[in-house]
Amino acid sequence: MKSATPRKGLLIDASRKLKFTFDGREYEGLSGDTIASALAANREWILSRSFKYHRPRGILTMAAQDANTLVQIGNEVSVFADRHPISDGLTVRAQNVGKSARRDSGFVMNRLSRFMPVGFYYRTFYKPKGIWEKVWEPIIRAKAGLGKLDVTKPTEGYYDKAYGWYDVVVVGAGPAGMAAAIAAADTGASVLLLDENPRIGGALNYARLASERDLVGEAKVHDNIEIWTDAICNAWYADNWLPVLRGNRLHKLRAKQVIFATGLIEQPSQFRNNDLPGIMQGSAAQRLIRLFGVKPGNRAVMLAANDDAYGVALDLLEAGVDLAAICDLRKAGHHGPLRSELTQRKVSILDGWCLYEARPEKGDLHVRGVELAEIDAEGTAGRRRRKIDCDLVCMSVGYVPAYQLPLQAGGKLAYDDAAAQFTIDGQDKGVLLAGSVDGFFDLDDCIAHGAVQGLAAAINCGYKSKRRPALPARDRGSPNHPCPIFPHPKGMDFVDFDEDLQVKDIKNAIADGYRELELVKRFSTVGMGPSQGRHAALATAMLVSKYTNRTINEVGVTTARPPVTTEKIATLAGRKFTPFRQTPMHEQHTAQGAVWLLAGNWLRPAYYGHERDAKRLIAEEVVNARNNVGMIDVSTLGGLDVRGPDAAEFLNRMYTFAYVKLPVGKTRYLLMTNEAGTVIDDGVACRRGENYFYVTATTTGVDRIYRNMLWWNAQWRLDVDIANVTAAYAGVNLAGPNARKVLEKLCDDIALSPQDFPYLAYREGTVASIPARVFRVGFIGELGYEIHVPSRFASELWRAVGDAGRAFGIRPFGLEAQRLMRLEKGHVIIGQDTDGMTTPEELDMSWAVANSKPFFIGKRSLEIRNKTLSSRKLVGFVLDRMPAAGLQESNLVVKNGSIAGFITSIAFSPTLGRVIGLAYADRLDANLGSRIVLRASDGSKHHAQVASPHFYDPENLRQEM
Amino acid sequence: MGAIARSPFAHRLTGAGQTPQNENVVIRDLSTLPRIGFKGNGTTKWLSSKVSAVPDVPNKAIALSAGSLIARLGKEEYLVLPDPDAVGNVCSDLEASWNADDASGERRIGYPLPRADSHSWLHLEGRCIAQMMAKICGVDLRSDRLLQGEVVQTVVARISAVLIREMKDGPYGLHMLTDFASADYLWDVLQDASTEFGGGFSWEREDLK
Repeated sequence: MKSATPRKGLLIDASRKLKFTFDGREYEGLSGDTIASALAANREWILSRSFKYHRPRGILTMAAQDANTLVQIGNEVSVFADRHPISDGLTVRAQNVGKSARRDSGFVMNRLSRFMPVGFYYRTFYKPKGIWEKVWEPIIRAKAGLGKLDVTKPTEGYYDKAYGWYDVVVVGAGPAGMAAAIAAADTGASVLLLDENPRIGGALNYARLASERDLVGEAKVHDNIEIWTDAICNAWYADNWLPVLRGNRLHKLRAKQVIFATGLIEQPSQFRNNDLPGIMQGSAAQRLIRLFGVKPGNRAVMLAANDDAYGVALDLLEAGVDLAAICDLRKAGHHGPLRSELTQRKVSILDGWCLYEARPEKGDLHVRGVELAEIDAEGTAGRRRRKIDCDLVCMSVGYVPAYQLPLQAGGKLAYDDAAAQFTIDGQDKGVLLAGSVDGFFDLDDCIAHGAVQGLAAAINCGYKSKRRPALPARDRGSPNHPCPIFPHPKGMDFVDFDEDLQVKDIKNAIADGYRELELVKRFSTVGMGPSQGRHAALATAMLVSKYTNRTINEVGVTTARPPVTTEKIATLAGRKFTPFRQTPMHEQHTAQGAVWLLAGNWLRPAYYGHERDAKRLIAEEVVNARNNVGMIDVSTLGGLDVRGPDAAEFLNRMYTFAYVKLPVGKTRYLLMTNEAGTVIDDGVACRRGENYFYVTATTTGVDRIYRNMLWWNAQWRLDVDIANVTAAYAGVNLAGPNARKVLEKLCDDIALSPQDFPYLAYREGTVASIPARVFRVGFIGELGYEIHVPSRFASELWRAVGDAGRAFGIRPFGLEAQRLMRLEKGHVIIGQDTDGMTTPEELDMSWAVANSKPFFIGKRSLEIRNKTLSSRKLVGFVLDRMPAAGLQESNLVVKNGSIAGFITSIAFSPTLGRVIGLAYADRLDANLGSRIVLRASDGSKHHAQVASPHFYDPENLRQEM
Repeated sequence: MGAIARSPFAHRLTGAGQTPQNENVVIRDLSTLPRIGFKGNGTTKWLSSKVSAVPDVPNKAIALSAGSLIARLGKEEYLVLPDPDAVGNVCSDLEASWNADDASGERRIGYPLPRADSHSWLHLEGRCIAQMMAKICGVDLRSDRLLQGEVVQTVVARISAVLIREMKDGPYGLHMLTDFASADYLWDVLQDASTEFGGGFSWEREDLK
């Protein structure tokens, strides 16, 4: 159905028609329409079904404050239909419905509501034992929830984040917010004025308000004011850190001063069927009329408790709505100018009457009339009644301040029971409140207060001004009714629309002993729905106050926590930043077919070739390095330059071995323990000069070791400088019987004979014309040279070594082959063959501990720990073949039904033709030839023989050749 | 040294060259140019005897002769960058001078740092640089907050970075030095962040040599 007459509204462009679908039916709207306004223009009022009883729900606020308007768009759930704009081809579906919002078989739950009193979940579904998990939970889970998210679909759209910095951020661009922004900006402060709506102006855009000042125009042209619309400040965090949602970007703002001019949230009245479509806040009707040119109904009843209601009534009349009656909760005696105007227009005004019941159309699809009742002396619905037919009910009975952000900023909420008004005080010193959120309800007062607060914020930032605007008075009365709640014996007088909670539910919760508001909340779930109690908190507090004979101030309200409104996980995630590091030879590895693995945050070749041939390729790489010559990129190895007169003493303290007497041009193994004597890193120290050590550390450990070194030396104050040069030096390990022959082709200024350059020696010279640090080490147990060069030249080194080795059949090998070959040699990998308790003694590496030194980190602990040795020891073991069940690292070593240890490394050795490994086993089983029992992941047990961990070339003849 | 230095971004500089759509964000790779650092006890005193002046406080940079700059990163830590448009010998001269002094037995003269290999070097220029950087860096780099010659040692897209506000007249410029090994990652980060402004990396065919 199309809108009958052309519409005029502040936000719409009548010349641009758009088509969209809702629940499979096509509708026409205008550019600028929200989904809800466009549907309303088409007289479609049902947007959703309620959570529990599947009652039809429609527009309540038109301000994206309630769960009534949550719909699903594509794979995005719980979108506010009264905020999301329509677009051509947009497909919208109702949530939590059967066939559609209009036709929902789940409405049968409405009839069963009397069998579901508050707290029935806790009582009903837990007996007999076990029935919850087996029967009820699956049923309730299937019924519960709002939208349906397909988690297999990727996130649509691009989300990211940005930082921002301002002197003053003003949240809320209503009259007070605009006045505050202008006042602050006039001093020279940089101001961000943000508002969740598509247009600044706040209530000036839709309410019957007029200001002499053109605040919108002033704010827009001010050089120091940046304006963001459609921007939601969703929280306040310490030091004025504000997350602001704007489109798909999360802005992380820092402000010296924040002004919350967040305004008011209009509250509903509680009467039977107060949730029917066609019953809405007065401000919602005004938004429909002024912003979207939508006539909210044909015949209305206005429920009033303040003078704003009369403005709504006049707006309804001007929009062509027949106003059947105004029902004012207040007794006679309110004679503002707007009321006079209505009286002149012969509108029926019933003072001291309440709305007792709304009568529904069939299926509760819309309101079709109301029953009014005169309020008796006790303030309840009396016996004098009147029935009126209508299709629209507007409520203007009071407000609560939009206190969520101020409360997050440390504000404390108090309630003035006499004035029926909340007050907020005590928020962070960098946070100010402006306008109606701080209890100013008159337009001019709001503007004046905004100016005062804006100036104060700027002055707090250090800006100067001679202006001193006067603070307006606070005694102009409250627009809030003290208790607009009129319970009905048949219920359906909803306090919380999100959770389908009625007056009797709150009453019964209290009767069950939950007298405190926080307990009522947890027992009844009031305020726990998507609208987070915006329309339920005050009504609940009023009921708890009433039924426990306390004031509302004594009862209080529940806490407000971030976020203020819905936010997407995609927004929080933003663009992912996952740093990774590559060696300078990365592209060459790619060209050579590297299969990658991540070591720390480094990408390293695991092996070269196709994944389906992994085992064969790794074995080939091993065999080639063992019998010929191979090359591996070791650039990821940590590198630290330790320089200064105390460099040797520093290493002596940091590591277990002794370095003071290490000759220049020599290397020595490094083993580091922590204060507890646990092994935490290893490497090699190369003495480049009397006062200069080049130290290697494990790939994943170097950053931590570097920090450790700085931390320790901050205390020791040794004359030493430590530089982390990991990225600055790239390395190639050239290994295999033919390694020397390859290097000889590239190197003419380093004597390479075994006598000139023996095992564990360190030399400097050029390799392929590149300045290089070269040392002979044997991690894989073959003749090997580790060549470290400045990173800028590393790809050239890799090319040159490959070219020089081509005649010898050189091939690169990856991390997998290296790990296998070091296992054949029995060299441990720190972190893999060690854990949080490992001592050098358990590794049989006491040879690397210089006990004669006066001090090294962990020495004292090791002395104590070595007096009472642990029950375990790292042992080598062999099996003839890998069991069918497979054995893996971390599989247990068991003995007499207990855990004796675990496997740390295991692999089939292509060199030895059998399975070899390292494992922690009972110390009593550490003797060569002992048998240990390994338990596979499937529980099967397998016997292995303890062997020397130096499985390959135990005499080290090959690496020292 | 016969080998040619290679930028960690080299494999990204392909084809005939690239020029961003506009001058909002223009990123140039300067990683093949020399640069050197010094730190450790005695650095300030030693450097002061070798150059016209050093910044009086950390996180400041000043211009040296011939367009080069010296940035003070700490009480005893410095970074020297040559003029990208007219690379002189400032870095190699300082290195040679240090080596000579070290060889002659002078002590407490600090230690050289291999900044040309530990850090990649990018120059970012254009009117939207600060706006673009706000997407990847938590420090306010707007031109009225980060003045010419000011230095920020911070984190950009989760990796450590040294940022130096360009001191030459002209559009807003920023020197960015980050981990050499993270260049590939950084390329994608910057390309992504600058796309919104029509910006990106800029190089010419000659840069590929």
